[in-house]
Amino acid sequence: MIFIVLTLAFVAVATFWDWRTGQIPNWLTLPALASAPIIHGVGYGADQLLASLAGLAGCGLLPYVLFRRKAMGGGDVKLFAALGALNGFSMGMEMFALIMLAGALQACFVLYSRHQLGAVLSNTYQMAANLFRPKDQQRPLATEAMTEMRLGPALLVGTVLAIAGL
Amino acid sequence: MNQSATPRPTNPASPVNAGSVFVELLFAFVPFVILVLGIIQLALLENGKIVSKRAANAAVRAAVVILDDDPRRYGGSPRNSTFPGSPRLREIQRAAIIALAPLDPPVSRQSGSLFAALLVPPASLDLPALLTPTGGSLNRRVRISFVGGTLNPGLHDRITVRLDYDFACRVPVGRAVVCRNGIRHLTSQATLTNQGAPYAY
Repeated sequence: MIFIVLTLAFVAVATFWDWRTGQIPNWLTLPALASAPIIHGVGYGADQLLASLAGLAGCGLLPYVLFRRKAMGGGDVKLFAALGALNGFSMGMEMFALIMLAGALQACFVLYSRHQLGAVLSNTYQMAANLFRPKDQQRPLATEAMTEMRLGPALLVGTVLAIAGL
Repeated sequence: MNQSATPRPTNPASPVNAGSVFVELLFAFVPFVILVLGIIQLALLENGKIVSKRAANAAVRAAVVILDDDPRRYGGSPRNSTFPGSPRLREIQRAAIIALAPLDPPVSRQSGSLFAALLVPPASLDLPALLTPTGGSLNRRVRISFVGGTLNPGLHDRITVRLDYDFACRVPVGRAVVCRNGIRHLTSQATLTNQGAPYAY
C-alpha cells in the first residue's frame, strides 16, 4: 500500500512538472531511484531488494535505448526506472506500456485538434515501413521532421490504470 | 513538420532531464509492445496446456493404483472413495500438482521467495520440499474429478480423470490481452485402465 501511495505522489509531481516545464527534474527522480531499493530491502528483506533492482534495470533498459536514439527524454528514462524500482519489474512494465498507450491516445486527440494527425501518421508509416525495406530503398526521417510531445497527463493516467489492474 | 508544430514545445536545452517523446514512436511502439508481450503470453499459455495435459496423465496414473489401494494407507478411507477432501483424492491431486510445479514452483521452506532461494547455497536447499509441494496457490487452483458419474471401477475398467487448472497469466500487458482477470481456465482429460492393487504390503 505504501508503495502505491509513494508511486502516485511521485507520478503526480512528475506529471505537474513535465506539463509545466517539459522537464522531469533530477531532484525528483534520483532520490526515488536511490531510495526505492533501500526501502524494499530494509522493510521486506533481500529478495525484495533484488526484485526492486531487477525492476529498476528492466524498466529502465528500453527507455534508455530509446533515449540513446534521441526518441525519448532522459527525465522519462529515470522516471520509468524509478517506477520499476518502486513497483517491481512486472508492474513497472505494465505502467510503462499503459503510459505509452495513454500518451498515444493523448497525441491523437491533440494532433487531431491541430490538424497535424495526418502528417504524423505518414511519418509513423515511413518509420515502420523502413523496417521492411532493403537498405538502399529506406527513406530516412530527419529528427527535425518528428513531432515531440510531453507525456504529462498520460503519466498519471497510465499509472492509475496500471494500479487499477486494467 | 518542425519543432514549432509540437503540441507543447519542450526545452531542448537539457535532454538529460527532458520529459518528452516522439509521437511517431508512441504510435509505432504501443502496438508493437502489445503484440510482442501478447505473443509471449500466448506461448506460455500453450506451454501451460501441454503441462496440464501431462498433469492429467500423472493424476490418472496415480488414480489407477490409489483408488483400490489398501485403506490403511489412507486413514481408513474405503476403496474407490473419491468424495471431496478424501485422502485418496488428495493423493491423486498431489500427483497432478507435482506435474504442474514447473509452472508455479513451490517456495523452499528455507526462504521466503524464489529470489531468496537463488541466494541459498544449493547444498543447503531442502530438495524434498521442492519435490512435494504441500501448500501454495496450486492447491486452490487444481481440481480433480472423474468423468462418468459415480465411480466404482472394476479391475480393467477404464478410468477417466478430468483436471481443471486455473493458469496464472503473469506477462505484463500480455495477460490483459490473452487472459481474463489474469487467469485462464485449462481443462485436460486422461484415461487409463484400472490396475487395482493386487499385492500385499
